[in-house]
Amino acid sequence: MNKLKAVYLNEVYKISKKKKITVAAVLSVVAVAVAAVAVYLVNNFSGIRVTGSSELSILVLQVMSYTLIPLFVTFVAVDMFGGEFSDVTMKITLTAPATRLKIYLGKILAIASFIAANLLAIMVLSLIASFFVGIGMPNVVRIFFAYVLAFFPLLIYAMTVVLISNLIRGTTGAFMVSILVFLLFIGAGILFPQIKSFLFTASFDWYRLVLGSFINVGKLLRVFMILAGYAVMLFGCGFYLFEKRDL
Amino acid sequence: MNLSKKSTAVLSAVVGAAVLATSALADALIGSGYYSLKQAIKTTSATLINETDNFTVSGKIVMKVDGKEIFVSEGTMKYDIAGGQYVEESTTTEMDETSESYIYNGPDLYIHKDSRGNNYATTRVKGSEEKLIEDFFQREDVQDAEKIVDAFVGSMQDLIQTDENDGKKLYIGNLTDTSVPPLVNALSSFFLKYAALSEYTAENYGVPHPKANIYVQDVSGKAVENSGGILESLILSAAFVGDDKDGNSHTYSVEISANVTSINATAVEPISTEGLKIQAAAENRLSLGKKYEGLYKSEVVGETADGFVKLGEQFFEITSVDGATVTGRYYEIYNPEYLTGDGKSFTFTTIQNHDDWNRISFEYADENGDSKKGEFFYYDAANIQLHLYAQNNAYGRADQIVRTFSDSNFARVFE
Repeated sequence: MNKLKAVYLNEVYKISKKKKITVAAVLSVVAVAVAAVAVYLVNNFSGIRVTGSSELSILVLQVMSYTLIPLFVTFVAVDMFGGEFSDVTMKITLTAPATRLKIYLGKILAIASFIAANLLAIMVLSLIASFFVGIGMPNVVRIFFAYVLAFFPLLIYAMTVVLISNLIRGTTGAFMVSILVFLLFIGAGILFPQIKSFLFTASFDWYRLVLGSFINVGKLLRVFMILAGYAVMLFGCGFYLFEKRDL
Repeated sequence: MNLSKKSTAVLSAVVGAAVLATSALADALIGSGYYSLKQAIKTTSATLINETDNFTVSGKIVMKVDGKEIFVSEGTMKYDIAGGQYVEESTTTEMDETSESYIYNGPDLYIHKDSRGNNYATTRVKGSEEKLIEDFFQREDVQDAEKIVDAFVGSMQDLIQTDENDGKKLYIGNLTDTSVPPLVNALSSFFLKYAALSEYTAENYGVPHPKANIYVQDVSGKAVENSGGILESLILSAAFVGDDKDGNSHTYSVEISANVTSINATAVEPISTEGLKIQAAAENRLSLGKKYEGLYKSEVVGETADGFVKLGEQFFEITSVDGATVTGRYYEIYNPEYLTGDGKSFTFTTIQNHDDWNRISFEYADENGDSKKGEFFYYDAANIQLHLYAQNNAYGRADQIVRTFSDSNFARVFE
């Protein structure tokens, strides 16, 4: 456990030193500010509250979970696997006194922490912005649950990128294929709604299930099981490829 | 039994895939309340139109501001599919004024009671070819729109829950202000402010116009599907909140309900025409009659540096209407002072289609002998609107003409 913790902290430290993290943080602040200003202006000029009664945070989550967060998750996940294989720094990582499973798990946990931190930052920023926009008191508990639910499909996407990074040599290729897969899954969900249940991207807005007055518990459980199935499958496949990959 | 790391990885991938496939399959099979409801609406429409002899639909719309009714309309439509007739009766109350409307449409008789004037205008028609009612969901544009709506609804479809009781299926949906997507909220609030309850309409109704902080407060719906797959009742309601010009908050709501009853037990009978003026239709109320035979004219005007001058005239003549067969001709006469060359002219013969209402399509040969399409609309005041596709400009321009004006409206020449 101590070895896993050491690997995890090491990976988190490496992520925190990347310039992309600063860019992600700046863009997140900008995105929240733009959303807040847009909502404020629309309300001021046309008298229409775009976000309904109070939830600027949900509007921001809806936009960010399909755009900036997947983009930076792709950058980070590709860097942590494809990037380290390309610049041979993976060799240094693997010399640590930990098994490949622990290293693989540590990296996944670090990416998960990045996603969680990103969501937390956006949630806090948007809650603060809600007060400035002056559209009433946000329902913090509901918003918190929505952000917690939004975490899971983003983690599944990150694990998909990890799998692709272990399949394809080179960071550019892995990045492009990851984005293409993301777009294809979203497109397939729109064009063929009958197969939506099989696509993890269809659950990117499953947090809406807890926003109404009726909570469809059955649907929540089914989506959770789908995401759990994806997680186990992607972890198994990803680790298999990581384990047998030569340096 | 000890498994190698690789075997464990493969095993976990297989187990994960199995969990994923099972859960996703279950989810796809259970479907969403939205898709079940959509299917029930389609089944209701198809069954009522194609598999029943008659049925009754009743509906009511109520609009309220701060709980006070400002508009109430309720009506009953009785359809006799087998007999090709229907009766529609409605009562509307707005601004404390109540008006009633009555329509009977049968194969040989049409009765209409004006909603304001209380006068019956009845017309005998000869074998109308109109279809009594069509299945809305079979239309291509509706099917395309359905796909767009599906994508638009997105995850909201899971907010419709279903329940079964006594062989009936119940659909219940409720969206609160937090679960209405921003785009839906913005569009519907925009519609309320600028269309449904615009400043002008609000003033007419004597209610405060929503000016600021408008948003959807609540949307709810309930539908009941019977054991035959027919939706027998539907209730929808939506509430908006908005501030008036003084900053006071108001609640604007709309409630819609509809019921399908008396399936195969509805009798459709027209009211007695005794004492009513019966206006006999000459042939068919939808067709071009002989009274439209005659000459129609439209002037061509040119703009010069000093003013406007008449360049010529376009003539359209309906030479004969013999039942469904319509013959006619078109020609142009120029003022030689301004224009040169021969004007366009052609004749045509066509068969009018009753389903096209007041539109007649025809084909004609242009000056090169090429086949071209044209159409004209005929109106009550003996006016014709003519459209000639691939029209060439037959009016060569004299040097002093800056612009030429001609339009598609032709007036009857009576002398």
